[in-house]
Amino acid sequence: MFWYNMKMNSLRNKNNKKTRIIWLSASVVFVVVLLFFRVPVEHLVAKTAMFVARPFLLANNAMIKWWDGGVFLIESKSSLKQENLIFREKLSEINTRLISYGILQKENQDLKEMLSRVDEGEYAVGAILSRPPKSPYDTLVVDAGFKNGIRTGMTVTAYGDVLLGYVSEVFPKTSKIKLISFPKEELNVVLASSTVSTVAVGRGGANLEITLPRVVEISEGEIVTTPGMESLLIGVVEKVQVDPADPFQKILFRLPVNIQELKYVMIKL
Amino acid sequence: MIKRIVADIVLLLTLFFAPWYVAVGLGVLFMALFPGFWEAVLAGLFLDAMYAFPDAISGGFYGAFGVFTILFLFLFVLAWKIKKQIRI
Repeated sequence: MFWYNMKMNSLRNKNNKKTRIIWLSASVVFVVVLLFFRVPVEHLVAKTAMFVARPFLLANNAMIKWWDGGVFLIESKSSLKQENLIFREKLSEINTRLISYGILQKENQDLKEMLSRVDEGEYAVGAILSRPPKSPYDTLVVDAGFKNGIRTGMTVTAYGDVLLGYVSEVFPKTSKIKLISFPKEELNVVLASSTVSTVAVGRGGANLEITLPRVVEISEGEIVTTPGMESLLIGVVEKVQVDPADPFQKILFRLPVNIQELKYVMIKL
Repeated sequence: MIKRIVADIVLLLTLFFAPWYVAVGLGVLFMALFPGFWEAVLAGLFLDAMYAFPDAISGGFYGAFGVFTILFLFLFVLAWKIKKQIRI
């Protein structure tokens, strides 16, 4: 019995050693593959994940739409009345502004035609499948990919006027978008009223900041846009942080659209 | 066995329908409750695949592929070691 146990222990140890060698070899191969083929492997894994996740994310969107449509059934009549009044007021304000916006747009178009710069931008529309806080980073996943003509680096906007970010990774039917507020992401911007050209840095959570010398006068409410003829809105200055001991001032602003309520993005082709 | 399958389904659904921190929290909880819950590592890999960037900014690990996978792998090994020590 003793010799039998000795033999069995020896066999078990051999098997354990074999298993350990196999695990070690597999780990080494895995690390080597990751080191030399990191990007293609990551892309392949991401492509598979997107393929699996897409139907679920579409179902999630449909459920949210259904829920939003049905919620009014359980709200009280008076609260709905109140909400209706507020919306009517906002609508009439917006309609008024639209009139002057139309005039300005025509003027802008005429000026561009005079300078022989006609905007021929085409856009692809993508439904947002995933956004913060579902995603842990300042990322959007949209329902438009290679098959819709999307390519890496394309500009992503809200309503065609507000810059949101750039296409970071493209898959057959989906794309990943990195928002401009992604931490440490830098972007050339112009402060509209003072025509100061500078760099905005992302802080995460749809927030951005600009650092300028204190001598430059910046006020809250100033509009921040991209430079160039076809400028896009980036934000409106919300706060200017000035420290008497610091020769620089921090200008804080955020994306002017609510990412949580945005349903679609427009990607410039 | 059935409990584990239910846990897997719940984790999978939170990945698609709930904020990321809910999935991470549940993954950690299930790793504590079930022996060798490697599905949490897969969940971490899924989060990285869905939301990480291949060209994450030079400012560190934020947005880099592998953050959640490595985190869950570390927690998996830690849970295994702790359970071994206290003989669960």
